[in-house]
Amino acid sequence: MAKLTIDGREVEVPSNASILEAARKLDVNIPTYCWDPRMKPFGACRLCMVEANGRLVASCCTTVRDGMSVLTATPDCLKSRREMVAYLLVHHPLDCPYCDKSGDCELQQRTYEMGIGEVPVRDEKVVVPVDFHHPVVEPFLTRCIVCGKCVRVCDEIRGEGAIEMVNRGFETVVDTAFGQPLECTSCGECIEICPVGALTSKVFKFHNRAWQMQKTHTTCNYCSVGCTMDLEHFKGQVRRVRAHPGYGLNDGFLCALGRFGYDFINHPDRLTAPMVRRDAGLEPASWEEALEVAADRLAQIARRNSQAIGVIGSRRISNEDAFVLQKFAREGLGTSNVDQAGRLDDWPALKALLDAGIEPVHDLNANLAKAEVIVVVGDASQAADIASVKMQNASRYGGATLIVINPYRTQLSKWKTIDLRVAPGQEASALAALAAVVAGLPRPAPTPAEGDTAPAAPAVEGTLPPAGTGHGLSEAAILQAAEALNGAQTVLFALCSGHWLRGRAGNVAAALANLAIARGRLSGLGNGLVFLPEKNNSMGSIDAGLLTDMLPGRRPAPRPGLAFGDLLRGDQGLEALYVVGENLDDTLPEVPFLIVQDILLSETVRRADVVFPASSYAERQGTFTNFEDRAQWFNRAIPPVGQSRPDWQITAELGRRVGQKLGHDTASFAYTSAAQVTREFEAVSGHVPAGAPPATVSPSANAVLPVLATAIHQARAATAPPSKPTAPGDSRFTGQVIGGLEAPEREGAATLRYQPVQAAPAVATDAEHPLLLVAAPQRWVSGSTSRFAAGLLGLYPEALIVLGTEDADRLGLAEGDAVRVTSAAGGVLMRVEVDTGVPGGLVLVPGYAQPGLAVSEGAAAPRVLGDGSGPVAVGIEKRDARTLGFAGFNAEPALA
Amino acid sequence: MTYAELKQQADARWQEKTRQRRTRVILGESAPDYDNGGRRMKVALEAEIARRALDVSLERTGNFGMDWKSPLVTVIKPGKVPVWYGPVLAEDVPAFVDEVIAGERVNTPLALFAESEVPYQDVQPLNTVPWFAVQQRVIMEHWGHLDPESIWDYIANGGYAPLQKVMSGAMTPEQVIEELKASGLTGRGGAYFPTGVKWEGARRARRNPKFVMCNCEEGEPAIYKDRRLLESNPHQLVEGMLLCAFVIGAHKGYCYIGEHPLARLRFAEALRQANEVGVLGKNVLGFDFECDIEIRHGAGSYVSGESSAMQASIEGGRAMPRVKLARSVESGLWELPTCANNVETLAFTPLIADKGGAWFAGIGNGGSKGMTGTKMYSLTGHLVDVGLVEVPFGLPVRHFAEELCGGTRSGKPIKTVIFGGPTGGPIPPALFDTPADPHHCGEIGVLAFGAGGVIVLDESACLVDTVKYFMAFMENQSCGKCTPCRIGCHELLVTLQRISEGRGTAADVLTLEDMGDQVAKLSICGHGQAAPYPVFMVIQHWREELDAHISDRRCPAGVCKMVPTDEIGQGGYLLMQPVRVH
Repeated sequence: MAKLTIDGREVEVPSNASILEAARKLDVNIPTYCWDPRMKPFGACRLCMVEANGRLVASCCTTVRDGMSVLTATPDCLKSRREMVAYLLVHHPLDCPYCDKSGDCELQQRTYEMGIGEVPVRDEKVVVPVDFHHPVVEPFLTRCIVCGKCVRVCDEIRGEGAIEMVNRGFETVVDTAFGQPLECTSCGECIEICPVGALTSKVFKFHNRAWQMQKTHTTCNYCSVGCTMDLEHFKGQVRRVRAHPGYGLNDGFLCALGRFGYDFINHPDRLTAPMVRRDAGLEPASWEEALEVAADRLAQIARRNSQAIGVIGSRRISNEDAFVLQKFAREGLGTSNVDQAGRLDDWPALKALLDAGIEPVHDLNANLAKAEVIVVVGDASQAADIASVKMQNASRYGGATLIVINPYRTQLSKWKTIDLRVAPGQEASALAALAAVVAGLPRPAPTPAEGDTAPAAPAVEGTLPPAGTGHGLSEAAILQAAEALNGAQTVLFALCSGHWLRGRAGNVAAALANLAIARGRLSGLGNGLVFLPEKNNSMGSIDAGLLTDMLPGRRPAPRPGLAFGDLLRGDQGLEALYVVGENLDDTLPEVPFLIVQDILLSETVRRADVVFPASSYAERQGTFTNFEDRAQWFNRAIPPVGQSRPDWQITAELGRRVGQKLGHDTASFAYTSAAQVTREFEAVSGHVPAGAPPATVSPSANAVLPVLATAIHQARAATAPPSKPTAPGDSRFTGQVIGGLEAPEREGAATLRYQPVQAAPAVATDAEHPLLLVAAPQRWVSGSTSRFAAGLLGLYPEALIVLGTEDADRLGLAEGDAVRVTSAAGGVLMRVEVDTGVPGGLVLVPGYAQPGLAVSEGAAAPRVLGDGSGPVAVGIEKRDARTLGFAGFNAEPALA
Repeated sequence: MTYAELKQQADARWQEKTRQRRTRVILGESAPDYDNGGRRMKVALEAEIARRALDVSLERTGNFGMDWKSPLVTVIKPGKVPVWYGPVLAEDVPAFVDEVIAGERVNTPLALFAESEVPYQDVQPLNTVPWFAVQQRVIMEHWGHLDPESIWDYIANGGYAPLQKVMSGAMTPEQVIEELKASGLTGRGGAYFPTGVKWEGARRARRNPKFVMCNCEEGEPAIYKDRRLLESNPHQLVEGMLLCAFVIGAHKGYCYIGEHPLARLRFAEALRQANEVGVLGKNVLGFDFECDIEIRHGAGSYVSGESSAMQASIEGGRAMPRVKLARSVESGLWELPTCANNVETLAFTPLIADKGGAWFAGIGNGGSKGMTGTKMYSLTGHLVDVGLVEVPFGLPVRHFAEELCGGTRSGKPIKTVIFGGPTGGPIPPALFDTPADPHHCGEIGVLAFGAGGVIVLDESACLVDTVKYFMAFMENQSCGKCTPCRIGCHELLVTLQRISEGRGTAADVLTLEDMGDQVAKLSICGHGQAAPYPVFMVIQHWREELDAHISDRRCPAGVCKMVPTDEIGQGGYLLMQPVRVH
């Protein structure tokens, strides 16, 4: 620690801190352009000059010294700052009236603050005609002040290095390599971080003046990372998404989905009024009519046979929605047929981990900081971008070794990585083989981390299943990975679950759990398992009991009903189906009565008998639970679009009406606010002292809630502070995270159990179908809502089949060529993307973007992929591009 | 191989080479020799010798410093005094072979000097050449005599003996550092930081691995001393880098060479031979010490000679200076301890380890300020004796304007001597008694003394034009990172341009002073910090010439072209609209 004085005030900071950081600690305002707390100091803008011990220095890159005396506002400092801004203004075009950044611009702000009306010299304005030829990033480099932030965030944080400064001296500009079109993950971080209007978003361009928009602090609704961000909106229209340093676990970084995936909110295809099917088809109706029709029919069926009603929820809806939905099913309708698409991948994976006695980690950042080896199963970069970036940087800056288990090269392979390219679909057998080697090698007992009281060797039940075969890895590669694992004090495992693991998620998770157990210690910071499910509320919908075999609070249901797959089979005698927030497309069976509650006009909505328009996450308040089991608020930014209502409100109203018709007590559906539901959800899922069964769940539900079962929930009850949700309707976020758990309470002492692992059958190829096709996550596609966001459609307008260079060369295919992909199940027409990271014999499709289903979760019968996620043997043949009628996700699919 | 084995073999080869019973003809083969027709001459000479079937040993050597007389040829008849000739061009070859090589004539018009104490057959001895008499050669001692592409020549002349001395334990690394400190050796790249202190810091740095980084970027106009060292005796640098690596405990060295093709070739050859005989590699000189040296090629950017920019470039990034929160001996390449030295500095270190710090400290006249030993300078400009010299550090500037320059080509008097190239400052004749070292030159306003480039200009030069040229170089070579340098240098150039075209105003001089002051104060690295100083020197010492451009619209030297005025501003311009003064 060093003690210094800044403008006469004393401050104590770590001895490696910069003067600027010390000044920020005292809230002393020192202007900067190139400094960002999340990146290394750069020292280019020279705006932060201060006098330290009488010398003029740049405060951002001068380390403090003990006893230093710093003055921040001497005439010399002020003059030099003013000069620096004035220099920038000499060549700046001053096109503020037409600049997106106007009102938000740091150059404008400093010019105004310092009152700079004239510049010291006269010179020509210089035009920089650089174009990135990119769907969302538009450069206006004439405005650039060369602070280098965009270049640094792209390299230092994102690890992409897609843009760099080129040329020298006065001609220095930001550009791509050799002026090629910009190719990157399109996270848009460069746009966000630009202090002036030099990099702008084509999606936002000329849409709104910065000062007109209101900001609402909220949580992203795409993947399970749950990034914190701001929705910026004007007159009920969401215009832009931004995030700033210090926001959430993402620290203000977002990916393309979060940043550009917002304009589904105000899409013309939003459902604005309830609809009821009449003779002429679906017609708008009043809420009263639609609710009555639905309640009538449901009550009718429930009186006869409540088990003839099925309820399908979603992993995208909030905790409140999910909780009320399952409550309505179990308590209101009395059916146990309530399930969700997470049944196919996220839930089996999590269940396998819990069965093995492993509770996923609750604090990714703290664990990554300590991890020496990080084992990643799946393509984390495409599936959970921000989490993957964090792992990448743990390797780049923390020196952690990455071990990536995936059939193809991922972005994480760029760093200090041991790449284990498994055969398609054989992750489980590869993990089993690795576990066998790890268990067989001698290893030093890891020393416990600070504050870790768990015994060095936790009790382990069962035996390690034998090593798998068919994984396609060399013994040397496995040995290298095993040695890295055994040589490390701390190992963090990460599992990316999602549609790409359909059919084998439980197996892969079990194999990973076995590996983690075989490797040893699972407690203490840096040890553990990160579970990255697919959707924003995968965890919350499981906690809320939106599974037929699970009650709220992850307690097993005594009498499970029909699961997701069975609900869609069409031979279970279902008389009515209530689908909330899920597009089932052509997997939806014929049911006599279909109620669909959604935000957008999907294929499922078109087939409904009653349609309830729901409000999107921007129009209401609630909580999503992220992969760390952290419930985070999202807040109301704009008024509901059309007559739409929050899902929980619709369901509760339906519950009230059905209850009245059935003669039940309907008090338990009389919610007045989302916060009320949130509190109930918290109470049921473990936020009340153990032992007292929550009174809100009546005995008419299909089971009496048992006493809280697991240690985790008891610990939760003991340590979690009583949560105080913000008042509903209050768009200001209090910054408080409810249900957030601290790391130490992970039970290191719990008994670990080896799980059985089934060998995945090898898929045979033949002459007609020589390639293996697997579903893969795609960073710009996330099911339904992403198909309605202009920015994302611009980045990924149509589904592409990804081939490796080897296969593309052999088949004579180039990027953009049209091909017919055939499997035993059918065939489709697609365009080709060539990726050097894909090995020969393997082809990928984005799981949600398969033409012909091109939609959302629950699409379990893709025409090519069969009913899982592959691998499937396929053949590819080149077609004339004109035969490709498929023009995008929202167009009618072309069937071959 | 151990040093004893190497030495034995080298001595045998040297004996064989020097005691031949036939005429030895040694061609200077460095860049100036080649540039002045040395390659064509060599081809012609070989053909002529073959045609006449003469028994002659044709050998190669590096640079001798006498670039204005290159291509140089040394002729050594068996048992006779070596005599130097130059410039020997292809046209001269038939007569030259006829008279000197085949015949017995010594004093031809091409004869320069003889390596003897007294005149030899009417050829003046070397030490009476005034250009040579002021020099004291320490680094350049063997230049012009050794074959730069043979490690044996170097070893036979004492090379790698100091390294052997240190590695064998006869001298500890601590003693080397003590001797370096006692010698007062300072970094010859232009920063003049005490080398002993730097090595001590690098040795003390706790983290591993460590690196040795040698700076041979030399991108400044008018300087060519480091590349000549690599062309003339590259093993001096190999030994210096090895010594540094051994002392600080590094196992990897990077030599960053700018766009100097011959230097790259010669150094690569030196590394190849050093690896072959075991001077580099797994067991240096047979000891249990591993060291590898790698060449990194610069692509012609002045700023990549800045230490932290060079680190960025070696790491594979864009050559931009980095802000330093720690010194590079703590956190340099890949944020690991790195000892960065100039070529000349590293070449001195084995000599100091061998002969002791006191010997080195005894040379030069600026001892009290740490400016000890000798310094290499490369001379260019309007002078006659364009070439490389090595003189005691702190020799007064006057010597550069007199003995060392041999007068101007035009015969006009000398107007200025500029040290440090475009970042230095023109020194007027009135200050020629200033000792040429960073300390004393700094006192008269030359902020960046530079690495040893000297430009001598006569009265035909216009100083406004000269500093405009310098500023154009600085503007063009700025990396563009920091605002004051990127925009400041550009605006200073625009202002100087205006003045040199006769469109300047009195306010422009104030702009130059004020903006120059800001640029010098606020820039990140030495590039911007030093860029305005030549302008300051001109404002201080050649104010009349400057004012003539502004008030009389006339260039006294007749260099600058005046253009008709269209609009004249006064400085202080509104943001959107320039002020127009009627």
